[in-house]
Amino acid sequence: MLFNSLEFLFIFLSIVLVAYYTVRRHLGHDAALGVLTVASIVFYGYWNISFIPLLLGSVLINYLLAHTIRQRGNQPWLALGIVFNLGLIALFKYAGFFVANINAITPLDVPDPNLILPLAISFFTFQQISYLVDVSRGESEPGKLLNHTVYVTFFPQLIAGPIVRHNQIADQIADGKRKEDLGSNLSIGMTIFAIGMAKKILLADTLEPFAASGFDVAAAGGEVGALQAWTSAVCYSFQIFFDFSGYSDMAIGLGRMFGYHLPANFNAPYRATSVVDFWHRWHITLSRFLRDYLYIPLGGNRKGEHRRLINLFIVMLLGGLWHGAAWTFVIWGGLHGLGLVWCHWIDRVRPNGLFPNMRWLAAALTFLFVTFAWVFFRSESFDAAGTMLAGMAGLNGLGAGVGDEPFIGIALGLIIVWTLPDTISVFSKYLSGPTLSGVRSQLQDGWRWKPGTLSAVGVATLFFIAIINSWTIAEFIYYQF
Amino acid sequence: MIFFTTLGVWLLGFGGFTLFVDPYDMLDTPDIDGFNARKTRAHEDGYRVRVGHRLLTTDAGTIIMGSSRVADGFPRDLPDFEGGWENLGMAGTSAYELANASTLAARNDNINCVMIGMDLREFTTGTNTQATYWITPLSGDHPAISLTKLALSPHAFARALQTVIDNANDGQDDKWVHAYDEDRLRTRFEEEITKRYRFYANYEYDPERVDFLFRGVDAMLAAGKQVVMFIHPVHVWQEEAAQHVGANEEEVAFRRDVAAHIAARPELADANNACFAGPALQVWDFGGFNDVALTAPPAEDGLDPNPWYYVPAHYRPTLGAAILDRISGVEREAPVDANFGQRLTPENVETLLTGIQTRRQAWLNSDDEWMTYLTNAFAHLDENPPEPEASPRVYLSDIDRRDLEARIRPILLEHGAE
Repeated sequence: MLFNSLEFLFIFLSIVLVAYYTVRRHLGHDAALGVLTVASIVFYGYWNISFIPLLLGSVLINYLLAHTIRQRGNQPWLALGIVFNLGLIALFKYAGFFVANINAITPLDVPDPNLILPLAISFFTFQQISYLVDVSRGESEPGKLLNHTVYVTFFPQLIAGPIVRHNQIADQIADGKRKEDLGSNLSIGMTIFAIGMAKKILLADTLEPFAASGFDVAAAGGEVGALQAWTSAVCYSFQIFFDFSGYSDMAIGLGRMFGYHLPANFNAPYRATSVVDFWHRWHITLSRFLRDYLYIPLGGNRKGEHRRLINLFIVMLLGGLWHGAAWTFVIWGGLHGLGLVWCHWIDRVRPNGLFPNMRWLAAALTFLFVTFAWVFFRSESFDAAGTMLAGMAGLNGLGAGVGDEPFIGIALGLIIVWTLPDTISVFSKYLSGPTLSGVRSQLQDGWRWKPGTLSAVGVATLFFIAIINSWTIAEFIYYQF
Repeated sequence: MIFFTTLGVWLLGFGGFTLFVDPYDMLDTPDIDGFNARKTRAHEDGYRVRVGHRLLTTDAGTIIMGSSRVADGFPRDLPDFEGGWENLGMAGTSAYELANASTLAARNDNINCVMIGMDLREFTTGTNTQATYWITPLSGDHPAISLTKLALSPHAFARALQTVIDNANDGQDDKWVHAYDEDRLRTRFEEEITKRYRFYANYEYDPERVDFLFRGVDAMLAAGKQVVMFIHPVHVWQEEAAQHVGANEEEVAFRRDVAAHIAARPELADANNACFAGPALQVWDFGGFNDVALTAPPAEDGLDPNPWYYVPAHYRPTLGAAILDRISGVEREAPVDANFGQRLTPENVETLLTGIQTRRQAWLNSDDEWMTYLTNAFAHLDENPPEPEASPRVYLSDIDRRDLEARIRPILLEHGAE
């Protein structure tokens, strides 16, 4: 069930909201958490009911391991837990990839396991690794089984994040005495949700055909001219941003409707002036996860500059692989790893950056680099990526015209990402610590949302426009991860 | 409260208007003269909305699916057809839509037999769907959800608005009403020469779309339906355009791919209630320079129409009836006798292909005045070639394949076919 589907909007969400607040008021907080759990399981099972045991089994085993860690010490239980979670993701997500590579480099002919990738496995396993590690570090309590189940399965963030660390939300879930301001929760939550949906439906889905045109031709073995290659690549940069940040806004808005404050996941990433800056603004919760649970355990910057750069590179390679079981994702991660290494080196030799007085140029170059890297991310194969890059390099000439529409889309995208504040800046006055943690210093100036009649009418109208355009439903890009 | 009130007013006003006007003539809403009584835009979706719902609700034992060639070339209803008949053609359809439509047909227990008309057009790298596909059950939604989507669709709203304006101003959707006026058909024949030349100059065949459609066919076969597919008989003015511009290889590949799919399903169980003699899956080929296709174009004054064709790509229901008779084994006289249309099998596909080329050569070597007329027209176009038809290439995606599989697998499992 997609957040922008009519089933979700008019049936599922309405029923769950009414049930949650009614049950919380009359039967108490734990009963309301029970409603959320059941709703989340229904939401997950709507996609494929057969994976519900996997999800709930994973929740139960991690919960038991966390309690064992607390009672008997970290090892070997923490190691066991991490192996269990990584094993799960390795089996379902990477077994086919591993087999294909074994078959490619050896004379063996190992059969492909052909396992269906369970929806959200990358997200719920990472959250549970963070849970076990936080418990082992004493930064979190294992809590009650019901609370842990809500933490993992809470439907606004279950499928594609934000990746919520246990200590960011455990207190909110456990807080049975919290007085809910229903009006505030609904107005703020619904407004953020509507803006996210508009990003997805009106921007990302509109850009999709222009983005797909070049990549699809390349995937089919065709030749791509410069015009088509560039418009496709740049449109994809905007498509994936509006798609994923739209999804994240919808998740944050949905969480807020139920009174929960999820962490921000995007903060105007295409305004970044370096690759380092980009990763402080793009998929923020993944960046932080990789930093806290991979980069720092690898040694971080504590073992010298060279080791730091190697650690950064390794983290980005694995971050790329997390997105999908394909070498194109690894290359994408590797490119960003090299970008980070470059930035840290520049920081050492030119502490004020290459263009200290031209931030716009730094932002434009960073955007170009990110767009170049997205080519590998989006392409179905190395050959297709090569075809696209050859097209972008002009090796196939200008090629056939692509019409005005992609250029209008690109101009609109640039205006939005370079002149308008991102969602969390617009709503910063009404978002709390858990959402704004770590991003306050980078909020953009500009328009700020204020509740009022005009705003309510405007957002309702925007929401309406998004709804009536949502019948050509396209899945969120990050659902596949 | 203001938010929800505003949203409610928008949704109810917008959706309520569309449903009340009922532009696709789907509901039992009141028909008011001067407002919505004449459904002047009911054809504009190519019948998708109606077909999407009828696939689930029809009680006809035999249905026929396909493009506008089917929609226009076969009777809407055949009261005497045993078990009932319904024409569920959709203008501008594709293998993508037909495969997904097949999953709906597979779920309707009233349907015993499904005919599918096809030609190269459904298997090109063009648009998978027409806009209204997404507001019909064809997209996989529950009928109630589809109806909600219909109510909230800007497309349907625009049609509703046009319907009201047409009713108020005595207007009409001229494109459909006058599409086949006899006195315009010769002009349309002439226009088609350049149009088809441009179309085939840009044509790209996608064999994956044949695989895609046959997955839908698998669902129907598993559900015990008889599936009779056939390649349309198009007029020589279209046949020769494809051959002349170089789409002959695609025609060959298409027929070989279809034959390969038949060969891959060698031991099918009989259909539960077959409507036609022969196996549960059969493919007929009515294409390729036969006597029907070689008939003269209509006279310019419209007084001497072509007996079989409106335009080169669209035949008349008289020819549709002849196709139906041929598949049913009803004997007719030339030119739609036993030589018109052959069963295409893995064993005879090469013979059929050779036959097409033999008949083409015979026609080219003949002194037929229209052959001379057409070859001169193509020679003129070769000297001053028009721009190939510009359309973006669209390929089937993993999501398309996954979505179709998600709809097919439960059907296969339910019937023990997987």
